[in-house]
Amino acid sequence: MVSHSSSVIVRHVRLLATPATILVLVAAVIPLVVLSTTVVRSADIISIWQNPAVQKALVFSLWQALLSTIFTILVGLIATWYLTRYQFRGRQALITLITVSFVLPTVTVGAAFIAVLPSWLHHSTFAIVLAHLFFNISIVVRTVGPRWNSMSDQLIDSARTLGATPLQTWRHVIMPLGKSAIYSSAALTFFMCFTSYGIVTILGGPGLATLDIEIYRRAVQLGDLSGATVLAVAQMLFITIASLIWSRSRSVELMTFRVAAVSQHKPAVVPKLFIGALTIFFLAPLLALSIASIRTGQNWSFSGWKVLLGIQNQRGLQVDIWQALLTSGKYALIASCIALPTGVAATYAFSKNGSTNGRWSSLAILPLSISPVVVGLAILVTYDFAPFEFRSSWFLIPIVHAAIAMPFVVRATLPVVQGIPPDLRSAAATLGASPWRRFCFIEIPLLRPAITTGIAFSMAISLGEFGATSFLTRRESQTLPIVIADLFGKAGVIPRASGMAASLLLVIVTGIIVLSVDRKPHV
Amino acid sequence: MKQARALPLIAAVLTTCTIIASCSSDSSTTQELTLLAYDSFTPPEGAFEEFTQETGITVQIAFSGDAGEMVAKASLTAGNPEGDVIWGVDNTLISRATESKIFASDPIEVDYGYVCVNFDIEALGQVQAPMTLDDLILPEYKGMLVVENPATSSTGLAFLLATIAAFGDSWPDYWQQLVANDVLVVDSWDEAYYTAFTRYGGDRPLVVSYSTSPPAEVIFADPPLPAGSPALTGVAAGTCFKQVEYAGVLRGTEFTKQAQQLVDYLAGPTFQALLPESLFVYPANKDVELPQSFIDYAPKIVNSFSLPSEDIAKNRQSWTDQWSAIVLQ
Amino acid sequence: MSLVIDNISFSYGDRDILRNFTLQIPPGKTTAVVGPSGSGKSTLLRIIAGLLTPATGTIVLNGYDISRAPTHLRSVGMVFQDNQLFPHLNVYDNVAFGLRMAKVDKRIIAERCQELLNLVGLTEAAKQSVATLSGGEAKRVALARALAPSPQVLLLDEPLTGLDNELHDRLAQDLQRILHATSTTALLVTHLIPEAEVISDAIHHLIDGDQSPQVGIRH
Repeated sequence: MVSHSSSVIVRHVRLLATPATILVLVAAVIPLVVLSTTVVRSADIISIWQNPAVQKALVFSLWQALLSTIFTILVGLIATWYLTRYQFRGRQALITLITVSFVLPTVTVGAAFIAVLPSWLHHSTFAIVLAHLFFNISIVVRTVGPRWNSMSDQLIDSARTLGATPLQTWRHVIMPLGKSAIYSSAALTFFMCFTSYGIVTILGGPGLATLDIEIYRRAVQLGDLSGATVLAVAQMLFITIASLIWSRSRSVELMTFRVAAVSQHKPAVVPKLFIGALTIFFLAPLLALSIASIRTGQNWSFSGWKVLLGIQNQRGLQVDIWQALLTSGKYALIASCIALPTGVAATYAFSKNGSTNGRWSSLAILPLSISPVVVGLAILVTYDFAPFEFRSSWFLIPIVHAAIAMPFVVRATLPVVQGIPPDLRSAAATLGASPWRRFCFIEIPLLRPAITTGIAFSMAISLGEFGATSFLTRRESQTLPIVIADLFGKAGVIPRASGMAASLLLVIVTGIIVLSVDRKPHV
Repeated sequence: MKQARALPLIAAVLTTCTIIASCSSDSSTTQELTLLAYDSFTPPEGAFEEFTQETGITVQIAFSGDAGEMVAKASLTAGNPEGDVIWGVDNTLISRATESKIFASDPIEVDYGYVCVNFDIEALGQVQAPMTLDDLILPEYKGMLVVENPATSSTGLAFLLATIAAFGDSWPDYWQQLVANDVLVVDSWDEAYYTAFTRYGGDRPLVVSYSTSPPAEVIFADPPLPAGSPALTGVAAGTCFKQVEYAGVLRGTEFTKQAQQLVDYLAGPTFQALLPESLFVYPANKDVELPQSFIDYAPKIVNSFSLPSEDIAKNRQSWTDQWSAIVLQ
Repeated sequence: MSLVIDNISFSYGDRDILRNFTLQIPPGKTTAVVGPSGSGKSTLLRIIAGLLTPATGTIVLNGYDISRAPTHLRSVGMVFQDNQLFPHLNVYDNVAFGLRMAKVDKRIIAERCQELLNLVGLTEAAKQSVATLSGGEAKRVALARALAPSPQVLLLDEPLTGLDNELHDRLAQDLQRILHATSTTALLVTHLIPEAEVISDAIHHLIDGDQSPQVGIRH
């Protein structure tokens, strides 16, 4: 359909996937292979699966991920429907709130959930499912939303004039039209929940562990690196192969971080109630954090904030929040500088490949599927000799962040690149534009919303990333999430309030970044 | 118009990257040693100034995760370490560290502390505070205690070890009685202390924490407490497990001599005096005087429990598995 | 089989779209309402279909007041201006949609669909994806789909807008033939008087929400 040579600036389009491939190789695959060959005892490959704790973790991983996915999809679809079909005050703010929640640090959200939920719900699968809903609902909204957005009101009207009840309209028109997007968001939600770490440790309570947690426990607490590595490799293979098979059997739908214009309906009572409940659900944890940050024991006080921001000195606490912000900001900037061009180039490689494209783009999920602790250890044993002695270099952190963020850049840009009509490029060519100028003046402006979304998301992911960062050795100052963890490690009202304040600060910074580029509903 | 806004943004991002990248290539000519430490190793600013003045060596701290993560990494890189000196391997981890041969020479003790049951004085009200492990299974403390999971928390592990040291082979019976007395188990210290403990809005007035938590509570009180105020929390002195932390020269460093100097400095009076009010531990150096906050609010622990480090390393998994079987049904 | 529209008023905010509109549509005949765009023609159809709720007035179909009935129970068929074929279904499944909603027996659905596809001349295209249809073909499918459940009244919203001249004329004649052959009670709205003249048996004019039979429209 598209003549390849006329539409791209590089002759061999697939070569554009090279930087992304290198990034994934360097940050994940090579270290994992090296670690496997260094520490794995062959007997463990089989015997580790006979360990009851491992079996229990595996079953629980699957079970809670399945439950979380079903729940997230159900609530997410209703939310998406109301957000795409109704116009109401605060709609855009709610979309932003939902989006920001996706990139919030799990530790912070877990703590906030503990603060909000009644204590009888603290350690339950239900609490885990609820928190997973909080994190992943934006995957559904932002994947299915654009699809339902492009469906006209009259299509639904036409079903109704043909005698379809509202329920039949859902079953036979609305759901089938969103089907591929729903499948795709379900798959991503499932993988995110399957590898959940922070949420399950905080809300699951003792005895409930996912495979990722079991991997951590083996590697760190039990010193069983061999077993941990076997599990990590198995998890990576499972997720990668599953997403390959999944994307082969369906047309791959990728995440668009944008929910566009809606029809002008005003919500009736039931939608109003749902939207209200959803808003409260997303605001309550943030509200709980805000309150906890100005609460010192029985008193209301800004001391936590003052200590955090360096306005008030506190004996026994060394917090340099500005340095941490600067470090976090630096990592975030560099991570997005790497993730963005790599991701966009990969997008072009994937999008020009005919019908198999989606399959390979699903490989971008790979860095997300590896346990952070194992990545950290693997990097340690891989880059430990000259001239590749990078293992404790500061730049490894933004590189790992970039690898984690890249899939989201690809997901944001792929639909846009695929949506650019080939004739547009041809038209520019007939007007005398060289390939390079076509790229600069046609593609980049059209991609701009996706690019800014990509920047925002890679920065936000980098800012909140805790797992791998806490595991790589850092010679410079601490990052924001690590400052938070440290503050929560000291006993007393001031460190607690400061920790809450730092969490809120992280939420605010993340929110500002996402909001600043993602606020306009129209492309 | 849209394009005019996208391009400067991209340009700005790229420029910033370049500037940052060029700034961070350091060109120091002085000798530098790298000290591996856990993330919460935050001595006050200028803690190494005296060392640098005496030796001309600067110290770079490399944060390596929590203590368990740090030891896992050090074990994996034994012989080709990420730094020159390591700080903070505790007695539950030290034998794994020495077995992996991470040290160039025997590590030395640099600080110690106690994991003990703390109580919220206000919340206990008229109820007499518990003092010993046996007290904790009395009916008047039913539903009052929160402990950490030894499989996921070093504090929880220390408390389990205290009970093993105290009751020997019958420790499972003791835990059965704790369960019967409605003990609450959570996964981490901060959840136990900041969520379940009555002082922070929970419903458990007894929590497994540190003997130095009471002075921390006083130091971090808001508004600050006047001198001589009564303590806010107390320690059950008969429930304590002694945690000792070690520092040592890492095997494989190029600068063994200088690294040894740094270890000596870490154990020396100047550095040791900074420990109580920054890391909330006791200095190992007996010549160092304790600060007033410790004298006033940290109880003197006369009898504490301990176990040989080799036993801990050998039995850790079976003990925690056994514990899980009893306590988590 | 008659449709009585009695005293219907409708407004968006301050803007009156329809004022006290009254119309009787005789059974088995095609009635046209002609008016310029913005005169409230589409609104009228949507009110009859139950997609909009009027401020006042009633709609009586064959003696039953359907003013409060939900759309899917009204037994009205509608052909939309831009067809609104379901993109995820093929031609046959689009036509069968209404019958399936009514849980009609499979064999009867097959017969009825065959009959309608024959009627609109698209027997061969049954398995085709609706994305591959030409403008004229898509229109025929939309008509067949609306007729399939045998609605008591068929509403046609500018059905021939956007087609080229030759196709427009041919389809207009086909439409007249089909509606006549099936004796369908139909209401057509359009802004083209000649189109209305070809298809319908009676013409009413509508300007700015008022019935103004004297005013003709020229293009």
